Amino acid sequence: MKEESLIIECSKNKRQAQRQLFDAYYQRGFRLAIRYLGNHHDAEDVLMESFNRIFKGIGKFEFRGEGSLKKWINTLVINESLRFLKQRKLLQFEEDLELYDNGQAEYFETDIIDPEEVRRLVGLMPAGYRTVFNLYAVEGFSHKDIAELLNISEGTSRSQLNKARKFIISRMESNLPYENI
Amino acid sequence: MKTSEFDHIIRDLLLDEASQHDAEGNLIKESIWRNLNPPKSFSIRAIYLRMAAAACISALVVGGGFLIFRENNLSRSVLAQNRTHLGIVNHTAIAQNNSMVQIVMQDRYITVQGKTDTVIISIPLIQPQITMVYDTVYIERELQQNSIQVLANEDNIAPEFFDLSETQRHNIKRSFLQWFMPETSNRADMTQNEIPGRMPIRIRL
Repeated sequence: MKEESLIIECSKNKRQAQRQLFDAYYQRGFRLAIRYLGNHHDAEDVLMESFNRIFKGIGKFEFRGEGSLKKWINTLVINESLRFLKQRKLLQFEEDLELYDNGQAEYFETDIIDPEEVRRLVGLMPAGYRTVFNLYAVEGFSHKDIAELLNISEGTSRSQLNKARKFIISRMESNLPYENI
Repeated sequence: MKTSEFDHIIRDLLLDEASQHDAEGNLIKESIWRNLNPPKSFSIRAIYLRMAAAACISALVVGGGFLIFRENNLSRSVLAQNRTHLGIVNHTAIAQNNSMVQIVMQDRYITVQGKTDTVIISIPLIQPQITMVYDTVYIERELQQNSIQVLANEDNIAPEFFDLSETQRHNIKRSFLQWFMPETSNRADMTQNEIPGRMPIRIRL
């Protein structure tokens, strides 16, 4: 079934179409939620609420070509994940002017990155760092968009991104000598 | 290393890390679908229908309960009133409770008035009694003739004349009188011609 007709059927509350939509976008939504929340228990709650909102609001969704539905669903899941994090008070931001990302190219001293170590460190990152990093580096949002989404200033968004980078680099550098020996 | 390259590496790692949770995601997929509130159950129409049905049922239950409660209360109060009445009547001196007794009697009277009863009326059976009445008949003698003219009816039949002896005439006269004059008649003033259904007979002696 094409996306447009799927949307129409879902807006008529047809269970079969809703199941089709759920199957098509479940995995993408789950990965998205996992990236923000870090565990599948929270991801389950967020996905349940997200699909509820999708089925309720699909009647008002305006189809603007292929990919628009995917973008809409992604936005809904991200918003729901952020709402979840805010409810749990996991998003605590502190503005630090010295760590501003001024948009210019910045260099790190290390060139060696161990993927397993980085993956472990990403898992250890505070929710605030991970959220801003996800929004900026993975979703491609601008600092202005991130600031609006998280209800923070653009400066805070930039500093959170820099902190996230520093968090990984500093921990990698402290571990690398031992691993290289 | 440029920050953009670093970000790219971290981005790939994040995406790869998320894809490693697919197995867990597939395990909870069905439970999420089951727990998703089906939209049909959320439709406003269904909710209104359920609310209306629930309201009807609760109204019936409350109404029924109220009626039963009221009925019980009424019967209890009536019983209590009756007991009070009886208690007062039984335990108080009659002289002091004349008014109360009157009220009781009034109540009873109203109760009896309202009811429809079968009334048996005994009516005495009247049996007819036959009494014999003897009338005295006066016959006027017109002429001393030896013949009898009999007018049988109004058809003007020609009279026949017979020659009869005195004894014969007397017998005929008696037999006619017995035949035409009713024994039970006590109307002496009514002549033969006035009696309905009687044909006029004229006897000439």
